Amino acid sequence: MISPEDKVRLTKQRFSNVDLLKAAVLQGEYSSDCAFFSRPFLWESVCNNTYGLNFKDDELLKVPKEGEEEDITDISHVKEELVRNSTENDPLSFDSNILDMMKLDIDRLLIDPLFHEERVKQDILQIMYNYNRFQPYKQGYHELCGIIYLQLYKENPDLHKSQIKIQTFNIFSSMMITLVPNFYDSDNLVGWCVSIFNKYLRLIDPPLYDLLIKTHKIESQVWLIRWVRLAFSREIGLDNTVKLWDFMLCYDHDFSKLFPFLIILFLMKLKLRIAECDDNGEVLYLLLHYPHTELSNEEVKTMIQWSIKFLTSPEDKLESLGTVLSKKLHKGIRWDKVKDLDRIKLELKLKRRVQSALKP
Amino acid sequence: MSATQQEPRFAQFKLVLLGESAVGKSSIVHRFVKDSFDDFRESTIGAAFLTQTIQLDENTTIKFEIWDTAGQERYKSLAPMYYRNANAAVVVYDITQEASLERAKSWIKELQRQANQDLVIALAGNKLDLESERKVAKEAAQAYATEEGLLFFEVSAKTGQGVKEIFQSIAEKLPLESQIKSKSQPKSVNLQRPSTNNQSSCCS
Repeated sequence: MISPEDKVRLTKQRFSNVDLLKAAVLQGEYSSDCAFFSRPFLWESVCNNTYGLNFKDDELLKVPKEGEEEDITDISHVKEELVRNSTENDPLSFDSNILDMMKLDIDRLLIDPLFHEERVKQDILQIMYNYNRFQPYKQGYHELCGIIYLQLYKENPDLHKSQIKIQTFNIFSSMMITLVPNFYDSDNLVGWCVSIFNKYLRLIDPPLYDLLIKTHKIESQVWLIRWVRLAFSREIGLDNTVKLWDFMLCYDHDFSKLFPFLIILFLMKLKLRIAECDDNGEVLYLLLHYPHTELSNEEVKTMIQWSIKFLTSPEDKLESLGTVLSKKLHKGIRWDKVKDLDRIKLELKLKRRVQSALKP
Repeated sequence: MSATQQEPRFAQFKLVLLGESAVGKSSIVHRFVKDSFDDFRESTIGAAFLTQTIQLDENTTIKFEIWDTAGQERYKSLAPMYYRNANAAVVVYDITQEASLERAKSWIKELQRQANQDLVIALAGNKLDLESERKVAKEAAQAYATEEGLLFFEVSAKTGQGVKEIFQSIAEKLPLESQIKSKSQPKSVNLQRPSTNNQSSCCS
């Protein structure tokens, strides 16, 4: 068993700078299969390198106790760096109800028993309280923060309390730079779903687009909201999620750049089951209860590589790329001839009927 | 087609739950759909989607498609996506939190203004098991509900008290005839199939 310190030492020794480290992640060379893999070190190094957020522990304000005046230390220099988007609330006005909301949510943070511990709840609350000064708190922030905290804790349960807090704060704030404006602003979220997600779904897999959007008349935003706001964590399981995050953090400064393609990939994997649904309620149920299994690092890498391929290919090539992928995912179907998933549905039903009739 | 003709009837309705955060919307849904309760339930992000069928009478089956929305949609702009085409809404408050009833009232106002004219609205005061901590008088909430023409219930997701009745009463009030599907219709849901809301499901 390699100690956390040795993991960091060996990582630094093997990869002399962050660019090499990122490249190693993207090539699948540095992953949880590697004996000296340190996710906290990876996330912290990449975030620090990409976003330059490197707050110190003493910069975190204490959470005011009940009846206590709020600490109004000026941290506007920080705000300048982080906030470049319109918000629906004045971020400087602190609403004590928000603190209550944070507490309620943190009490209901169930991703790991660790969050039952009072000191851990206090840490998350302090991080949320400080982040609220940049962006007004919204439900979901607490869970993303909890996921980061948990990864740091798992790696090194002895990590000094102040260290885990500030490291979590820095990584969390870095990730939120693109998540908040894209997905926590309601108008932008709807815009993203319609003009980015729907567009790429139509270009990559027109029959699937037709089935979801035209036949079942599903507005993507109704189900995508949880997928994107929590960066996949409730949809595909925590272990798969953090593996995806490793890649996404290393790929681009915009953490969410690969989101549409990854989600389309997840949908394409489920395409036959979606095709078999009888009504939009059944489809929505599947999309919001995604039947996931644990993905290996290799599988995650392949998904990322496909997403990058979609992102970087000209739009007029996306449909043929999508067909190639469909053939890989669902063998035995001539996807280049499939224009309508209803036909696939009928064929699947017929096949099943024949199979059951042939059963002795 | 009337129930007395003994012809099996099936209807499907969309229902949305709205209300302040932590009043127990998800717990009510889980009690209704899975007949289970957890003291702690994770915050809903965006909305969760569940389905449940009930037997209204011996010939009539109703399927509810339920959108359980996040309590913190303070800015309201996303909530209309969920209530826009709904046939019914359950607006939940917590009988131990006075402010949650005010929040419920503002949701009801919004529904009356923006949603379907035919929307069946129920006001539900949750956490009846915490009677000793009650802050909202039943009579006051009931009077408000009567004045606004709403169904009214006090329930406990924890004990299950009153939960089924909300959905049963809503089903009775919904315009059944316009939604009835004959069982022979190809699109109707196979009622023999096990419920999709199995316990091993990963998330809500």
